[in-house]
Formats: sequence, structure tokens, C-alpha cells
Amino acid sequence: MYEVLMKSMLVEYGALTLQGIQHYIPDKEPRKYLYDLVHDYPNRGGKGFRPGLCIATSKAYGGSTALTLNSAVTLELLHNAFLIHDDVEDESFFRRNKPTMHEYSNKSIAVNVGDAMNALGLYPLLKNRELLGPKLTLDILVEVQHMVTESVEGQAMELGWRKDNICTLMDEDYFRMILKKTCWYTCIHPIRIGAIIGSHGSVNPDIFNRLGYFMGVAFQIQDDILNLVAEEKKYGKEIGGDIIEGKRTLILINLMQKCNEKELSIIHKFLSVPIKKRDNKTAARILSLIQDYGCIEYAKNTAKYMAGGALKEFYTIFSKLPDSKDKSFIESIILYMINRDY
Amino acid sequence: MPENKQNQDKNTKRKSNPGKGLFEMFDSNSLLNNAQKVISTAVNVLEEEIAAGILAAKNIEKKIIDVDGIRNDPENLMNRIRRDTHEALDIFLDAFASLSKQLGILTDTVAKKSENAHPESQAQNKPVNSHVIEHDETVKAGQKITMHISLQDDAITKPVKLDLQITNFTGPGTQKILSRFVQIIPESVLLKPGEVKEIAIKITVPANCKPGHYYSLLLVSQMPLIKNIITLQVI
Repeated sequence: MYEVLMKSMLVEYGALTLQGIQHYIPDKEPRKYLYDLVHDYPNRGGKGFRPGLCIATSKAYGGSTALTLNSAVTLELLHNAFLIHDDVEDESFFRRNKPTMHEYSNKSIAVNVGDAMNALGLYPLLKNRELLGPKLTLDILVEVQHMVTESVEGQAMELGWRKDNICTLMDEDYFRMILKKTCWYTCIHPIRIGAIIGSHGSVNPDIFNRLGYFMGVAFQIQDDILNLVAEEKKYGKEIGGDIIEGKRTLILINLMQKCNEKELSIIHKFLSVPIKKRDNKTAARILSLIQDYGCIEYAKNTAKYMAGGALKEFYTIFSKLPDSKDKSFIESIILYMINRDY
Repeated sequence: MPENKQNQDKNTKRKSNPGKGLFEMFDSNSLLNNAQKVISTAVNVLEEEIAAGILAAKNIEKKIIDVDGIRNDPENLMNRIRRDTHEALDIFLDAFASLSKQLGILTDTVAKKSENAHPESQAQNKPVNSHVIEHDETVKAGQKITMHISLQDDAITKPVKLDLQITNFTGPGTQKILSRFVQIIPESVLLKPGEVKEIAIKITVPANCKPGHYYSLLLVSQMPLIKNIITLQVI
């Protein structure tokens, strides 16, 4: 039941946000290698968590879709720009069941399209001034500035670990990296921005930090699990791709903590060669070790603890607000974070 | 793949009763302890990162003040012009304006109470109050230092026992100074109204510690909303 409500609302808010994105993409040249491609990733139909969380939080605090849509469009544009750049950085082959942009065009064009989407994301923020006034517009701009800064810092942490082939990471290193790379922009800031708009700036956005953080960690761990065990068609990316890419997921970190020296040496050697030279046989061996050492189960439990923490925060913060579909939607997203299979 | 099937089976069960699977794990005390440990580690990371953001904003503020000083000194100004362009200054000023605003948002210690807030949720909505305690001098790897901190609470009306804990120091990259290299003396104090008590934090900087800024959280168990950020610079 909770999943039906959540999915229908994600579809509704996602469709509105997509319309907004299309509104802001210029209808002019150069089309073939820029503006046509800007439409591509948003049109592939992502989950739409970020605009969904932002609009629902705004409405739960008394706001409206109309007041929040510009900010939701920015979140989704920046998210898709991140994805294009991420795919280049990770040398990924598939995104939402289709070849990644750099695979069907090339890396230079994909990076440039991502840059364009970052620039396009600024325009809706400026348009906020007409609906929200200068103070809230500036507040939201600062939120977005912090969101982007944290995300690139988190990405730098992970890319650095992979470049230096760091194999001595602890759980708290993972939490820190995910907080910066994923949580601020997937959950914390969408909720904060929604609350700022819905309450006209009267709610202290800091109260949502833990809620968004716990949600984001649960979401990312589940994503890491699905990368190893999901159905490829449903998941939309190559299964086991994280092992080949050497992503420092909680699962891999847990394996590197538990395995013996010989096994650690195999992992270290596998990760020390360029991605395209990593062999599937060793990747399968690492997957087998992950299963033998119970690392997936460990990650599942950690995701559940985080979702439990998120639910507690949700009930504490939102219990004072009147019941609404949007409030139930946020609750259902938390449950979905750990139950999803795509 | 067996793992895949197992996962699908579990998901099928959860779909019929979404909350059930989530709370089943809380039946066991050991699992509850695990959950508390994981959540506690995660929360410390969040608080440390927010503290790091505040410190970064303060450091940029200091740099701006230095630049003003250089502007008033013709000789330094010439050196400054040689090193940077005016554009760099503009970037600093823009960053200062943005980060000062960010600082205000993240550290605003005045609770904004919504008119219809319940009393119990007001406590939850109180922002975290952060204090930055910086070691005055730079330290070297292998060096032992002691920092002295005074504890006082004007709000208490009867004696309160305070238990102190400190997290690992986080440094550049994956560098850390583990909490086992840090000693709080004493770890518990009985604080009476109007009384000031001093504690000492003894830190042995490991010999292999790399240069950079390190920071840690000093927590008082009885005051979860007060976070004391301890920072030092290893050269």
C-alpha cells in the first residue's frame, strides 16, 4: 500500500519536474551535441526522489507545488549533471538501461553537456525571486551552494581512495564519504529547501540534517547491495559494476576488514590495475568472498539501522504537522529505501 | 544466484508488511546495541563534518581580514599583486559572503520556535551548540601536549555529574589520531551550581602522524546538544 502511494506521487512530482526542466532548456542551436543531449538523462525517467522530497516537505509545511517547482527543477538538473559526469569518472557503460552518454557520444561531449546542465540549474533559482522574494531566494541559493560543494568533496574523497588504492578504510570513513557525496544532495538539502519554502523560512532547517543523513546512507547502502544482487533490467546498470569500478562501498570495506592477508592481497592487486584491465574471473572471486564473509548481510543490517534512525527522526519532527498525503509519502520513502529492488 | 533469490524472497515478504522486517531486529538486545553503535558512529561523523564546515568558513574569514591588512601596507600590497590577480580577491569575497551565510544557517544557536510546536518536539528542534577549542601552537608528530578546558554551566540548579568522551581526531585524507592516544583527566566530574571545574586533555601525537589540521569532538553525555570541537595543527 505504502509503495503504491509513493510511486504514484513520485510519478506525479517527477512529471511536473520534467516539464519544468524542458521549459528551461533553450530551443536553439547547438542542438545535436548540446541541447538535444540535455534532454536525454532526465527523459530516461529516474526515480525522482530529490524533487519528490523537496515538494512533499514544502507541502507538508504548508507550501505548494507551484512555489517549490523551480527549486525541484534545479535539484533534478544538477542531479542529472552529476550523473553524466559520474558516468565519465567511473567509466560506466549503462545508465537506466541505456548506454551512458559518453559511450554513445564521447567523453568531451558528455562533460560539456554536464557543464551546461549545471549552468541551466542556476536559472530556476534566480526565477525563485518572483515567487518567493529576495530573502528566501538567497537562502535557497546558499543551500544549493553548500549542496554542490559537499557533493564534489565527497566525490573527491572516493576518487582519491580509488586512485591511491586505499584498502584500510573503516565504516566511519564510508559514512563520511557518503554523507558528503550522497546525503546532502539526495536527501538533506531537498528536505531543507522544501521546509524553507513551505514554512516561509520560519523552520530551522538544521533539524532535518539527521533525518536526511540517515535516509541517504540507507539509500546508498541499498544501492550498493542492489549493484551486486539485483535483476539487471530492473536496476538499469551492469550488475557487479561496483566491483569492477573498485567503488569503496560499505560491502567492499567490510570485506577488506574481514578477509585474510592473502585475500586482501588479491583484492589490492585487482584494484591496482586500470578498470578496463580488471578481469571478470577475479571480480567473481571477490563477489564470492563478499558472500562467504556475510558482507551483504552486514550492509543490509546497517541500512536497516539507518532507516530505523530516519523513522525516529521523521516521527519526532513531523508528528506535530497535520496528517497529509505528502507526510505519508515521506514516511513511505524511508521504508522504500531499504525494501526497494530497483 | 542464491543470494539474489534470497533477497527477492525477503523483499516479497516485506511488501506484505513493510514495517515488520524493520522492527523485528530490535527484539534482540545485542542487535539493539549494534544499532546504537552504528547510529552513534554515524552521528559523530555528521557533527564532525558540520564542525569542519564551520572551521573552513572561519578560516576564510581570517584570510579576508589578512587581505585587508595587506591592502593597507604598500609593500605587502605589491607582493600581493605579484602573487594574485584582482579576480582572486573577488573570488575570496564572494566565497566569504556565501560561507558566512552558510555559517549563519548551520550554527544559528537561537532556536526558531514555530508557533504550534509541541514542547517535546521543541527540545528535539534545538540546534546543536558548537564550541571550537583550538590548540594555540602547532605540534609535531611524536609530541605530547596537554590542553586545559574549564567547565561551567550557569543553567544548573543542583550538582550534576558530567561524563566526558572524545572521538578520534580526523585529519587530512584518511589520517586519524585514535582516541586511545587521547586521555581526559578526569573523565567524570561533579559540577555544582556556579562552580568552574578544569579538565585536562592529554594528547600523544603518533610518530607517524602526517601534517595537517586535525579535529575531534569532546562530548558530554548529559548534554547531547553541546558539541565541543577540539582542533590542532600538526606540522
